[in-house]
Amino acid sequence: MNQFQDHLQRTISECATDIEALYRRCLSTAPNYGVTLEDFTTAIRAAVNKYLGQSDVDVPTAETARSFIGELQTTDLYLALACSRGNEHAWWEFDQSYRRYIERVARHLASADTSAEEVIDSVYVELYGTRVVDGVRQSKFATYTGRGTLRGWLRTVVWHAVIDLHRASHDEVSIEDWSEAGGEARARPGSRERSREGSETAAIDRITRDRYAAATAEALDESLQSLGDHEKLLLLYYHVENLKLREIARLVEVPTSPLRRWFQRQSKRRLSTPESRVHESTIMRWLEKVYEKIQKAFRDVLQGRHGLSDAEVDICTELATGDLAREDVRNNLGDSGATVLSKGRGE
Amino acid sequence: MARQKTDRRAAALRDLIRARLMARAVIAPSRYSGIAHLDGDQLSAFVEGRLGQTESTPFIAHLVSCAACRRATAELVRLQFALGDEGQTNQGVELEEPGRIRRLLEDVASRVVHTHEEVMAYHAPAEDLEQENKTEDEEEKNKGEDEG
Repeated sequence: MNQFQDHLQRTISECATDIEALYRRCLSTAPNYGVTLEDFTTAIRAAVNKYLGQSDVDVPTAETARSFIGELQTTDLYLALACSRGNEHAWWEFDQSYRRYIERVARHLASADTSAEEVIDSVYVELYGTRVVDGVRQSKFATYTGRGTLRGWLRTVVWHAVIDLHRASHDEVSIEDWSEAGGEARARPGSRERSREGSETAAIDRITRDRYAAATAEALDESLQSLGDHEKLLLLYYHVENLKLREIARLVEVPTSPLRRWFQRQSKRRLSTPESRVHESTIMRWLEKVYEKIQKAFRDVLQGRHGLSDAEVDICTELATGDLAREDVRNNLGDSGATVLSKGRGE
Repeated sequence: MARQKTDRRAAALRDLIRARLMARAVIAPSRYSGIAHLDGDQLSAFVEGRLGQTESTPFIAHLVSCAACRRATAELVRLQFALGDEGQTNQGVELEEPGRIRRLLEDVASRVVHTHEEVMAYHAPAEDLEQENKTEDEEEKNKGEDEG
């Protein structure tokens, strides 16, 4: 065990009283689940290791660890631990509480080649675990840490199961191909064909032959590179993954969302009301700020390094975008869902 | 007129950004994330916005550079959005059919593959065992009475 891990384990040990209190609370609610304090502590320890045990950051303080443990969905974790051990009472409770939800997610994602029933069966089999390695049944529940809700975790498990079943029925299909061939996107109204991708690529190829192309690309890449990771991710979600403004707003709905906190720190206007709801217009404002930063950096590179005039910078921009269809990002604000930008290829 | 020109410039730049991002799909993150890929637990915790600032930093760096994980998070956000926030998980659950869970677990347990020939103990709840013992006792008692 290295020094970092050693320190981390000591920090977790300092939280033993908190862990035991959480365990007692879970135990009083469901005394027949067969989960011991040791099982529970081991699971909490694993969660802390996984999320706070990044070796390139400082060792968390006992206070940080205590706060982290307090945020864990311990009731969900307790249920998952019992289910992973095959406890029948826990399975009964799980089935009562989540079967309908699993069915709903499966029906939403099911397609012509993957029936909802097949997905549900596959999910239950995976949750129980049909492989035994060294005497331990490999239940999917054992991978749940309680960092998110059990419900959110199940949504991901069902989603993965659908992809796996789709892959099995179509040899090997990538996630990208699955989502583009239909999958979840089928249910979304107004999905447009990706017919323009070829022309965009061709346009970019043509532009690269232009005398300004190299300078434009260099300036743009440098401008994008100068952004913070939060800003880059926002742009990628919006332009490459085609998340709508309201979907991004949902992503940052939780007041503690790191993306939300980061952007709020950049904005004096939001500081007074950090808990207020994030609207689509807020995301648009965040995007506008990112565009402004890029625009400034873009002009600085072209003018400062390449000695271009304002007019020449405009020519660069216009030539580079000349053949591309104009899709103003504001469309999504006034459009309830009909405008979905075409999807970009992966790497 | 000047305002129109500024708007046109801004719109053109946005188109350019979009085209460039779509052509590349990834941007190098500011820092190396140290993460191979996000697993299901990490994906759902991120999509639910549960991660703290320190925890999320390597995740965000990874999502900037990994198109597959980013696409997974985007799909999960869409799914979460499409399903909506339902609140209670057990709404509308019908009365439980007796013994359904037992049969379900037995069915799933029958598919278990033992890779090292160990037998996995099935955790039957205590009252079930008591019930089984009681039935056996009664059977033996009846048998004794019949023989007597």
